[in-house]
Amino acid sequence: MSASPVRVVVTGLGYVSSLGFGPDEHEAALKEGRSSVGPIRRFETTGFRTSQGAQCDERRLEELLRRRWPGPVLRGLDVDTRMLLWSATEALDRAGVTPSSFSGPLPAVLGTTLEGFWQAEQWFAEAFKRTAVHARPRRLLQCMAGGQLATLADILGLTLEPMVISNACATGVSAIGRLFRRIRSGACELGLAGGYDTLTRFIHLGFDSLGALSPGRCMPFDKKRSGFFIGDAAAMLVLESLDSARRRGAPVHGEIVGYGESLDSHHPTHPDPDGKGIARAMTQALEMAAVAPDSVDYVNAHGTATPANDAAEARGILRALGDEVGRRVPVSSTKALVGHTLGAAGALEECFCLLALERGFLPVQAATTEPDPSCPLHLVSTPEGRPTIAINTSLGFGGANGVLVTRRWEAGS
Amino acid sequence: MTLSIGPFHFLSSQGSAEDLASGRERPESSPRDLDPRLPQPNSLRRAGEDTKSAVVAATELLRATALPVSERLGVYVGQQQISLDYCARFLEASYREGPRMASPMLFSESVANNVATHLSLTLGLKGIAQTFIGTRAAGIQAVLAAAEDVDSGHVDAGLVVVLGVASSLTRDAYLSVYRPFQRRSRKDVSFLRGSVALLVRRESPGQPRLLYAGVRCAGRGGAAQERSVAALWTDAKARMPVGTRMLESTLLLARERSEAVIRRCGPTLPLGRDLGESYALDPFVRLLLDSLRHRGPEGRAVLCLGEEGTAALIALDGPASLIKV
Repeated sequence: MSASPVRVVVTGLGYVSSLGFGPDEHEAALKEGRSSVGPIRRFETTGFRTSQGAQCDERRLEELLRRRWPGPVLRGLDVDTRMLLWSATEALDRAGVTPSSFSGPLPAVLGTTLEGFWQAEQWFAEAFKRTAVHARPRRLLQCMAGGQLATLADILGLTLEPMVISNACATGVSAIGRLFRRIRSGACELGLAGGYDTLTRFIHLGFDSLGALSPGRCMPFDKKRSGFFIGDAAAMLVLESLDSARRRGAPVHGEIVGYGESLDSHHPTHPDPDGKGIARAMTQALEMAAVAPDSVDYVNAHGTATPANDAAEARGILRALGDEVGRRVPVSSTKALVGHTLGAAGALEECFCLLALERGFLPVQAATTEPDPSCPLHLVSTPEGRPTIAINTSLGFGGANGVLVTRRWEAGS
Repeated sequence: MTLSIGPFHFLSSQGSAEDLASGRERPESSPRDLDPRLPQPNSLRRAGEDTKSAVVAATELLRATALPVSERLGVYVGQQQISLDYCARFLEASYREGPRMASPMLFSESVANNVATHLSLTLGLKGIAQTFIGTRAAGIQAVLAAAEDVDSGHVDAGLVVVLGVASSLTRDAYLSVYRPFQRRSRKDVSFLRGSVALLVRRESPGQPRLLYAGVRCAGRGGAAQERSVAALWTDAKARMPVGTRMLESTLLLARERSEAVIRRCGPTLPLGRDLGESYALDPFVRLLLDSLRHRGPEGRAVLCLGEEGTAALIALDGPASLIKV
């Protein structure tokens, strides 16, 4: 590790969710608390406990991609790969990164829990409804994340130094955290990191079978909360050393200053009810950032609106920030707006934190009407605010926890 | 900083590394007698054989090396793909009998990080745990991640666990791509099922140094893969001593195509007898068997070709060493 850690800034970001494409289409919804949940159109939902989900606008996604690649390049690409391609291209464009911007391969740390499961799902549907003979087995290979990476490298004309991380619902934060630490230690100067996942029947069924999906609204930290809904998303960020960004004259959207991760070692699917694991990850991240708890201005919580998660996370926040600070720091879970986007969630929520820091507002806590006294947090009710330090938390199956701390960027910082 | 790699612990359906190296392998469907070797027998009764094998390999390695479990021990799991067999079992009931019949237990076992979860619960691990997937290079990605974290001081040691998950669905998928007219001859593709656990640490006496671990992806197809291999070759060559034994690891069904790619970049040692497909585990099998068969002090490197245009390379400055159980 170099003598003093390298400062790491975000110079490009691209994200797509059910709310739209990029920062301008998300800002109003984050300020107003506008949810994009609706009936699932992608697969048959008869017999499920809930039929709500948050799908991206696939037609518009195709239009946006066709503007850049009007030829046959997009033929055969599924929704996962298209979202990933759009968000990666957008991030690289915003950062002004071209193949000549760096020497050697481009580090790319992708996070996904399902890889391109949409492809596998087509196989399973055919195989179970008819016979395996009728299914096209190569779909099972097309669902591997390596294929999506290769497509990305092919279309963008880049050689990648790839890593694919799958850390349950903490995946997006883990992917960004890994690249952040790599740049911070001086091992590389610039790279691409983020996550992607798609609403599929498989994942909807999985959380439905666990009783984690809400039959009504997603109401994080509410007394009557009953779970979440699944959403589509991809979110990619260009992370870069401050020196490199200055040398290139790249725009800076924010500075990542801390990262922490931990395991609960408690239960395969339930978080530690005392929130000790997430508190350890928060404390690690704050210590790395040299940020005191009372300097935190906003927490974008994992907030899945399941009874167990929200209670554990609230305890973790109070444990890490202290009772007094923990009760007054503004907190919201944006899953009420875009659903749980799984491998993309941590990366998408990091983009929301960067947007809030850059444009000076707080994403409001949508849908929650009666805060649960067992989650004594200060939920954001109005977007007024100008945060300087934001925390982004993610909790996943297996007790996987990840936390990022991000600082607002100001000219001359 | 100089990092060491090893010792290794290897479990497979066909026996120990010594059995395999001396041709005494015994074809079985999974490693033998796993349950009694778990720290708490029956603690993983719902987990699959691959998960049990990974937990046993990690547990026995930690015991043999007397490495304490603490937050300073990171865990890095590599496997080619999410468990399609569990996904299939989970989905099947929902298609045949309706969504309400799906088992949540099968769902949680189908999640990619379930091996890391079971390792954490069994061993009481509370620090870093990351799972790498997506290609045959996932195990080498896991070693690379462990090396980065040890090198930067985030952990004192990295416990890397790599699985060779045998999925009949994946085999059939590969057959349809590489042997489209032989899909019924499934016996052509046997599996070597198992796992390897290894340690990455700051210089550790008696263990070889990790000279290089890298992955590249230049796009789709053979031409892109050739660019990936060439990029790795150039990068790694400068760090490897002359005389390093260069081994190769390719998908068995794609061997001819992969060998053609490799030959255009540089010489490797012949692959030898097939022991079965083991996907992400395969580069480590090659490394261990060569270290047992050729006991010289030369460095060892494995060039691994993944699907699409991916290639990976891992290089050590001596033979890999195995623990005695």
